[in-house]
Amino acid sequence: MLQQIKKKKFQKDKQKQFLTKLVSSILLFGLILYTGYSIFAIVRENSKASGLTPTITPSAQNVSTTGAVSLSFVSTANLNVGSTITFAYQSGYAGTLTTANTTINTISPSSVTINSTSGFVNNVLTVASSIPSGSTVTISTSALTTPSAAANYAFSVQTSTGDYGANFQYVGQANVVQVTGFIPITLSFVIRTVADSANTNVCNLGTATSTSVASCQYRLKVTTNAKNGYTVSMQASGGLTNSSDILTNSAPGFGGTGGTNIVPGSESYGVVVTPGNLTSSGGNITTVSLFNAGLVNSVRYDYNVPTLLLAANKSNNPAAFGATTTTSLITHNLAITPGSPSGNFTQTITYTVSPSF
Amino acid sequence: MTLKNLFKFVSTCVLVSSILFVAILFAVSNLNSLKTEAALSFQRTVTVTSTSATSYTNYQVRVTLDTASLITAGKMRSDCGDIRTTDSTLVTTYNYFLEGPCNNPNTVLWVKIPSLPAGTTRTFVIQYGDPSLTSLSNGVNTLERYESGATSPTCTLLGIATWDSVNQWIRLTDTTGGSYGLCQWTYNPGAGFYIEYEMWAGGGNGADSIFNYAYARTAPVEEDLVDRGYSFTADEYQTRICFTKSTVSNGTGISCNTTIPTLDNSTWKTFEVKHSGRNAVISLNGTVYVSANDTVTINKTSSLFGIGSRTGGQVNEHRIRNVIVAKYDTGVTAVVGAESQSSSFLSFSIRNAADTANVNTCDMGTASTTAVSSCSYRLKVGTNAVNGFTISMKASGVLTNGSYTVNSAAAGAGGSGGTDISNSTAGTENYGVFITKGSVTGGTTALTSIFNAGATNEVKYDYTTVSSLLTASGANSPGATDTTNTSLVSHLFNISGSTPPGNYTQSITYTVAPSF
Repeated sequence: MLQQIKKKKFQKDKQKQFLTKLVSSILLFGLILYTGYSIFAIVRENSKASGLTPTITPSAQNVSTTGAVSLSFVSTANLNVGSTITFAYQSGYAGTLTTANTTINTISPSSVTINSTSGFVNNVLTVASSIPSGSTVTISTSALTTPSAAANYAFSVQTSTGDYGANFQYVGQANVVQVTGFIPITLSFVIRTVADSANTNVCNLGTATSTSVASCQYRLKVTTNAKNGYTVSMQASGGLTNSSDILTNSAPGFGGTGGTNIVPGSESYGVVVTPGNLTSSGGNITTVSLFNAGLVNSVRYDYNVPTLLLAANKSNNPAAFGATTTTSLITHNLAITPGSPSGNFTQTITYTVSPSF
Repeated sequence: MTLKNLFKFVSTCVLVSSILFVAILFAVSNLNSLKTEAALSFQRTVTVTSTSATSYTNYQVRVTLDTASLITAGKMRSDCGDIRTTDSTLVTTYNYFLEGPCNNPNTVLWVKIPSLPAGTTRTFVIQYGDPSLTSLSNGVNTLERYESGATSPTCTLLGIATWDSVNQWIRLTDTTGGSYGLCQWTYNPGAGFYIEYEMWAGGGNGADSIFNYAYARTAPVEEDLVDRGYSFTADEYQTRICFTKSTVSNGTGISCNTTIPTLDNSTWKTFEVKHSGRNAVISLNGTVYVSANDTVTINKTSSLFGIGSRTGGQVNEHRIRNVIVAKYDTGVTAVVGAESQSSSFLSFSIRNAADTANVNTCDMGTASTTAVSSCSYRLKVGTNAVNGFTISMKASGVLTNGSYTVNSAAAGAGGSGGTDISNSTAGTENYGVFITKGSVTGGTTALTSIFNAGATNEVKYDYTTVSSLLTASGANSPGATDTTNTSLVSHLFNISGSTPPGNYTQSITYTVAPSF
């Protein structure tokens, strides 16, 4: 019996010891956890104090301009009353920070101590109202006038709790590059051979007969970077003449109709205008109605006042030679009858070009 | 046991944990303090005052710093590698030479300031406190002449002088009798100069000398045979240190001191001469042995300058190393100011392609259909932001003459893409930019993908919203004229014959965001 009681007591003691050890272990483990967490929290809290990139407002300003300027950042540590924030800017700014013209989150600092170093003005501001960690801290002042010299001026901040950083106020557009380039006007006009291989100023119809149509050709070559194109006008000395007689002119064109089909044996003198194309994409050359006859017909070409001939709506940059598609072809045609007067017949055509830039 | 023991056990646990907690709290607090301090920079302003009538360009200012205290306080790298010197605005870096020794109360630092007009005061700044930086000390770029002994001498070796590249010294003479050796430059220091070198004499039976000479017309073969100019001698044979212009062997000096330590005991000694006008101050191992003035003004027009040595009937081996030559004027003084925290340093300027002046224009000139037009400038950022910085751009729009906008190059695509705008593509209208990213002294740089084209291609540059252009991973401390640690932006323009004429413009606004 006694042994049974002893055994029970022994078992109870064992249970007690086990419970004691269990509770102790839980408590110890809890304490270790708590200690570890506390240390981690401290490390985390302390490691918050670090570099940052403050915002300067305005980030750009003209030279010699007085106005409010502010520096903002998010604090990573509590800024208690009595903490300091060093607000520094490069010397060159005029004005002096005081408790009256400077605020930290709209509240004046309790003191402003100016501690200039070479090239910088350091204003040590004492925090008058605590600011919790994670808050946006804005230092504002109306005291400063930007320097007279354009430059990119650094503002920096440094708190007694370890936050620090800097950013720029760009004064007088010192951070701006003006890129420039000049494109000169290009404008050239030459009268070229049909093959666009040489300049020419003559167009010889040769010896006319009543059995064939005499003709000669040349090209009007305009090169220009005029964005809105150009026009070509013509002015004739008069009709084709031997000084005493003027040969019969073809009929005028009429916007794709009209004109005269010059055939052998029927006296008529006229011109076929083939306008060509422009090098500019989407551009075109149009022949003015008066010179735009029906297919195969020639048009009258004896206008002795400047008369609009061609209109190009964009720039043109034909090749130096052989540009037979981007030049305008002028073909003079003559047919005579056996009764047409004889002699050397001439006509002078003067062309003028008007670019539209 | 039970409750009592349990209470005891818990109490012990609480006590141990508390002690542990407080100890670690203390350690972490201190660790954080050092860390914060180390991330910041410190600076001292040095005021250089000249009462001299001479104006100088590139004057070497000698200052001393207590680097031992700074290193102990955790404010400076243990090897002094984070020392930097700049102008007073912290924008332009100055060359410096750390003579040393580092971690010493009297560390000597030489700083070359670009100009010191007569009778003026100039300031410059010494910065330190960024453990990520490594030394930029450079004796050759800072001093008038510098011979460490570690590299092939810049002086001309004459007589029997040789360079010992293994032991890193110049052997002026061996123990051959009646010989001489010179380390000589053609250099006229003007009214004055500073020279300091380590010298070694020994291994023989007591002769003859190591000497500095200046303004000489002919190369001297003995310390007291002066053909114009002066010699500053350490004569082991006559046991004297002299300021002399003697023209006879072992002649009388202007001023000599015979109460000197043994010169030829085979130990390295530091010999220093400060000469200005008629005055000379000669020191050995920091002790002044001669301080005297010549009674007349001598002809200083000749330009042979150097360090010589000779043997006679008796001999010694003679060596020199760590030769420092600088400008010197007794009318120039330098005072190192108190330390202040320089907080965060940041500068940004747009510079010409040679990095010699600020610019805010980039004129591509007159464009033609036969050749590419271009202009370039550099983006120069200086900062101690350890995490680097980002440069962003924002354009006013496309290059335009007001009514016509030119065709822009294609965007880059991380090393590909873009458009070739060059002489080979002249006649085809295109406008774009090529960016040659520079290095940074404390990290690496990378172009944003859209600005990073194929090797010879240009990129579109007409973004009208702020666009990240380049990122740097570390701090940057570019030199005064630095085409390595700055980024080159080149604008290129090709036109066709149809590109409308006129004055074309585009504004590019750059912004820099540091990451401290």
